Amino acid sequence: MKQANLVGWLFVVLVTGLLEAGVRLFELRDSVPAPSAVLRALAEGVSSGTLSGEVGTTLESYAEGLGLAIAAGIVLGLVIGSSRTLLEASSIVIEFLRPIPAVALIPLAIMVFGLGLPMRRFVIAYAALWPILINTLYGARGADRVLHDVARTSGVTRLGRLVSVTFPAALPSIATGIRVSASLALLVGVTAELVTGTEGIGSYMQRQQLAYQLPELYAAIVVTGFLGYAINVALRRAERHFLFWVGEGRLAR
Amino acid sequence: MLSDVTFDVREGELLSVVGPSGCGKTTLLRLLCGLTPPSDGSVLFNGKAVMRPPREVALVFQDYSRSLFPWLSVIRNVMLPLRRAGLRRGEKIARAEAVLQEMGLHGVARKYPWELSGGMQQRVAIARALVSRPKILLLDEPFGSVDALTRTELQDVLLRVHGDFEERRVTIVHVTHDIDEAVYLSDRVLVLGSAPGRLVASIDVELERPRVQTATRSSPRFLAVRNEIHDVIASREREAGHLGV
Repeated sequence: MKQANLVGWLFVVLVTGLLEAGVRLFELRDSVPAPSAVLRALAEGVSSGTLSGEVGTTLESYAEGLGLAIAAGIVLGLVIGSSRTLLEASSIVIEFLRPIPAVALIPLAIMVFGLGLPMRRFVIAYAALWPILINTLYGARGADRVLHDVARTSGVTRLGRLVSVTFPAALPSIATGIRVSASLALLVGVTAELVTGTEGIGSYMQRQQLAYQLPELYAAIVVTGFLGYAINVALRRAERHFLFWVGEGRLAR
Repeated sequence: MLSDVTFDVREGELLSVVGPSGCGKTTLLRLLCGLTPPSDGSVLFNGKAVMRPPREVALVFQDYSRSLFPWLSVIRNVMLPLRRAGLRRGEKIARAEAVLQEMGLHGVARKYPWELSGGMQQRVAIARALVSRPKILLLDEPFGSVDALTRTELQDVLLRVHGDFEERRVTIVHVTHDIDEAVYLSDRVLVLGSAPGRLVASIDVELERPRVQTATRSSPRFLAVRNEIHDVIASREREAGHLGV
């Protein structure tokens, strides 16, 4: 993303064109909507506010869930990662909880939190926690010992070193964890909406599916894909801005 | 790693420690500055045991590319040891800027370490060690990862650091594997032997100051001392069963 990825966008246009031609040529409109119809449904959904309202709802639980996971993942990861004892004590629990698909927890979450936003927030946070936690852990363990020694001889306390040495040193791998979690959280959030069918893009999809309104259903899928793409682009930009030192130096001798 | 290493460092002295790699030179420095507690024996500073890094002691690490914080600007790297100095922010900045000037670093305060050359980065590391005005400066092969020209330049920087503060003379303990460098810089050279690391010899250099790269290094006394050290190391290796020369 040094500049706009021209070839990539050309490819998108090409595939869309082929799809349009194929659907028209082979009369597939009953099972696959033409891209033009999807775009029309998309434009209508956005201008009437029905689809954009659902996007807002989805993003709300997404942001809250991911935010919780980021906060908890970083704090837990730094604390556990900087103590061998804590790492050993928690490793079995972490490796046990981590592979449980967040989607499998939806029934349980519904019993505890009901069908609304708190349930989705929990499920999203659960799913997004693990990549961030694990990456923070490894980042914290990988912090150069020399930097810790410098801080110690400079009189920085243990807590101070956690904040001013371990945390920044772990930031590159924390960023990786956040990027992985960001797409995972969207996936789980939309799934949770689809299962409960109360609100959000997922439930919009479910309603369009039941009403057999294919262009509208596909429009919601396109929107979800675009959200994921936009979030990833934004995160990469943020990474380059905040992690300006990564990859610099070490060569300049 | 080390056994039976006993020595005193006199106030204001510039002491070098030489020895083969793996003889525990770095361990010795880590003991001196309280980063590693001794398993046996003790390190005394003004008669008090060193259990953790004391305020009066500063350490310069070998590899500047690992010891400078890449996410902090040069001035903030230098200001790090002032955290516990109880100064106002303005004073901290002023002190850091002053010590950067002393090190011959002009106009780099807002840059990042990785924007500087290796020699300048090691100057920043030395500036950081000096900013808290330590009584003792410890250096762990400080010029090991720079080119030969920068190396002689930094040696003279260190001599200036040692000589400049006449009224509050800083004591320097310097670890190196370069015997010529040790002789050129020091008042006294300790020779360590390996496996286990122990003190083999303590040699007074007795070269006059100020030292000058060309004149000092070609003086008979310089050659005599460096040959003496080479002989000591060679004879130890023969005794230890290595191939002697």
